[in-house]
Amino acid sequence: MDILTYALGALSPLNLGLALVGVAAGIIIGALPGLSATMAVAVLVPVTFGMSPESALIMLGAIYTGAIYGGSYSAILVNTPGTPSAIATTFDGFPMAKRGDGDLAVTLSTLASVTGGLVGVLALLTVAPLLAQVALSFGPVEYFWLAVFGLTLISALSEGSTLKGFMGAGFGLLLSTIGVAVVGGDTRYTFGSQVLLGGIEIVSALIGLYCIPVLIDLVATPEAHLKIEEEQRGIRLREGLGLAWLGKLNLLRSASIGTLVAILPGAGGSIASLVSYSEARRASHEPKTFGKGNPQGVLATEAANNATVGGGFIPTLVLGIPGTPPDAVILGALLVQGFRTGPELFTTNASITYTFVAGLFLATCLLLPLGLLIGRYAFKSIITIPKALLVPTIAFMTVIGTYAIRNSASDVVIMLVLGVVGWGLNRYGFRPSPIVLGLILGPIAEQGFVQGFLMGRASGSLSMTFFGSPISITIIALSVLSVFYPVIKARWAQRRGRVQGDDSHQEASS
Amino acid sequence: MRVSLSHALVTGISIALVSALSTMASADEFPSHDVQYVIPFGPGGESDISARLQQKYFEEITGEQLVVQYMPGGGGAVGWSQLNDKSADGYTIMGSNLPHIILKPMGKDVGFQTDDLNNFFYFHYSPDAILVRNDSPFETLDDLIQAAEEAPGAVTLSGSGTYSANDVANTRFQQLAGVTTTYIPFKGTGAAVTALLGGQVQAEWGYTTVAANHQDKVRMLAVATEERHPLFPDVPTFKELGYDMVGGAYRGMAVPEGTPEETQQRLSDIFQQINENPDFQQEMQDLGFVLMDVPLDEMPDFMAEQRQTYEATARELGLID
Amino acid sequence: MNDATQKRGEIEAACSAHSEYLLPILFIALGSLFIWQSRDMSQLGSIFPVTIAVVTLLAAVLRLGQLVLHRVRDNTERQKGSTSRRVLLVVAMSAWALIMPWVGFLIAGVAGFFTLMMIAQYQPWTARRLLGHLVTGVVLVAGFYGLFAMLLNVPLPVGKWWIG
Repeated sequence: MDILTYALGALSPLNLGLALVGVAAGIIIGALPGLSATMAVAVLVPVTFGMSPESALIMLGAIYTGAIYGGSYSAILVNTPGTPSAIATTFDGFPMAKRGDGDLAVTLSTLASVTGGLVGVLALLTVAPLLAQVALSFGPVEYFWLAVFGLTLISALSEGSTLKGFMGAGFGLLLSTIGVAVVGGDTRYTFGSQVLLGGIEIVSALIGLYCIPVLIDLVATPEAHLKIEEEQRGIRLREGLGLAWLGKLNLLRSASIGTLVAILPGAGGSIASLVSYSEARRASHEPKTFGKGNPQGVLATEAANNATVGGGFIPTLVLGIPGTPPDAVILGALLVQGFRTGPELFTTNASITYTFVAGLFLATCLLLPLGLLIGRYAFKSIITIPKALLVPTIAFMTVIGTYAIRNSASDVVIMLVLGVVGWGLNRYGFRPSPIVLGLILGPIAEQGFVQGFLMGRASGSLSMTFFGSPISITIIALSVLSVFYPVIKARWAQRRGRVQGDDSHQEASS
Repeated sequence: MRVSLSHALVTGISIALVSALSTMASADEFPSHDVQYVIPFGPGGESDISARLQQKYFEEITGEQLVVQYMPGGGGAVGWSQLNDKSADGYTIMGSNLPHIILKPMGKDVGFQTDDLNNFFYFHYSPDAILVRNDSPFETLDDLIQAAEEAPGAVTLSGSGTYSANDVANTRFQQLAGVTTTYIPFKGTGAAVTALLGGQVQAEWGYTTVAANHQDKVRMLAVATEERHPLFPDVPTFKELGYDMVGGAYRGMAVPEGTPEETQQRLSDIFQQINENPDFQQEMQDLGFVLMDVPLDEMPDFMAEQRQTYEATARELGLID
Repeated sequence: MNDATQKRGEIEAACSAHSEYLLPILFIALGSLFIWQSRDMSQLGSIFPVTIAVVTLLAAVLRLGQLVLHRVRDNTERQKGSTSRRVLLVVAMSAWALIMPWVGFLIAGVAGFFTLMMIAQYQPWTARRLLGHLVTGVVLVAGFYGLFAMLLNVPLPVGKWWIG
């Protein structure tokens, strides 16, 4: 097996050391809100120019893997998703941390990330050229329907009133139209301010909507941020492994969804983790505990978002179309180094490709020891640091993190405004997730729709364009199912309830 | 990483030390420390890649680092509107792109005017090109034109953005060939080429760089260069085919207002020197770029000429009256 | 699950019953504003925001209808806490963000850090505790500054006041 030779090549002491440093640096960068994987990779690119191509690729892959995983720390411990793909990690991770199970949540996230990452890399290694064709069959219309499907997940995500979920998503979608439009070129809803020209940056919105409300409520009471257990329980690896074994189907399903959806350039990560989260909840025997600290929720999203690392590289390496923003940076680095993507990456340049894949594999395995170690430290420092230091530290990270995304001081102001608005809305029963979902999916939905409209007008049949392809029809069917599933399930429960006697848990849909 | 850490620490400290003295340093010694190169787009795009290629040679010539940073948003408007707030000592330069800097401020307030940008050097362009898939029925540009004549608006071309280089090229082409096509704007060249590869559109307005990246899957019908591109000797130019189209996405650098004349000249000289390096030339050519030299003293004429061309197209697009 | 319907025909508000009515009205205003602002846009540019604004408006109207048909109960268990500290935090962070471009990142950062430290402190200050916190604060700010400005090449604002 050639691949083994390359894998052994990747295992030289120097490369091993680079991978170790890369993963550790990635975890730390990813754990800071606002510091994204994209940034970690972009900063590293000039450094790698001085290295051999193999070492450079291994290090880039390592820092990327580490950064995606590190995002789960801030999601679990401070309720702030570092990247859009970690949004769903907050749903159950933060409640777990609040009740004192933060260490367990971090352990679970590590186990899930390793599993997900390995599945993604395996897919990249074995079926990449095949899956890349799937990416190409998604045109503007399919993206439009995919975004609509993502929005129907709101009914699954909004606790309580579905109408409130729709209003929240509408708010997010409207926010996403601010700035200069890609299609049509209009300057929209800037109200004469240049600050809004560039639109609302998604990660700064994430920081604002999730982190600022936590800060606001943190200063309001003298109680500790997270509940502290008296006894020291270490990293709770045994317990975590037990839960992961219980959720092995969940893990595999989520990792597969993550890999598959990540192949679609642009939409990948965030949709992947949300879909696997709602699937985990749907498959669960106790769906009501999701969102209140169910460990399976953390397993699902973290398996999915680390699977996107390998999955995202499929279109990047096979087609030369970056699946995610960090992929774009790595692709740029490859081009500068003189490599071309395409079939030759698996033939003439196979040594580079397989070294890279082996490096990703290595980095994913390194996540386990490093993640548990750094995770334990992160958890400990969060629970032991006094509130008077915790609040300014988190606030400082939100400010510097938001600033660093686009080097823009106005983004910090926008982040704060959204944070205060988000706190207010949350108090009145509007959760941040539908808003953020609208903000992320808005551009995908809008561009897909308008491009589909132009294509349909050119071909003479709008309905064929929008409803003609089997993929579109499948996604539409899934969306309809996703909207009506709660109703159907309630019916079933009611029928069963009537047979078995009174079911007091019945929840009226409002 | 350990190497980079100590290295970065040292450079960082030297930035802090030297920036305090920078006002005293005279232009002959320029640059005496790192130069920040702000790209008003995200990482991974063509502006970024070409800047990354310059980095190495800048260090060779000056012994100082060219530090690439990003300030994306509003198709470049976020960065350009803040350029003149930066310190005007020559240690901050920003990527400058045509036709963006001319078309963006037309008819609306985007926070900067074309004249606000002090361009000191334009170093290359990505020539416009019409791309089709390898299995496309369009063998030549005439095939495409014929199809567009038979059914006006039925030929779909993807491209990056509205009022962008691609949009302008399409408008100009429609005018010159006397046909109507449907231009479908996408977010970035990557999305536009995906739509082409996936068969959602029949052709794409792209650049030679796109063809260089996807050589195995696409071919070009024509390129908007003066002479055939050395990487694609078989692809005719629009000029050969009788359409007077030369252009694309031009890239250069600008400095904040008030940067001393000598410093600007020095920067212009440095980048000219980079352009003259045969290794750099080869690397740029392999990626599909076409180098050009517009130094500081030729900039006013170059800009005036470009402005005239784009204003005519903008009128056609309905951007201005 | 503050908002779950507890008994049939009764809706428990997330907060006070009045606010439950107020929010949909705000969303109706927001939707109308976005529709009104789209009047100068091209058809391609306005079709999406207008559609979304209409859907949001409809959802808000439906919600109002739902509230009118059911009885709305105040949520008595709603979170309590010090409103003044909340307001202070928001004011301090806003001031921090607004002065940053002027006085520079470092000064704004250190000032912001200490102000928030004061706001978040509930126990009385002892000299020892204050000193410990101050030192930790300076170390943290300096550490992050080093990480971002030097290692990650982020051009942090130096302050317009100082460079004239």
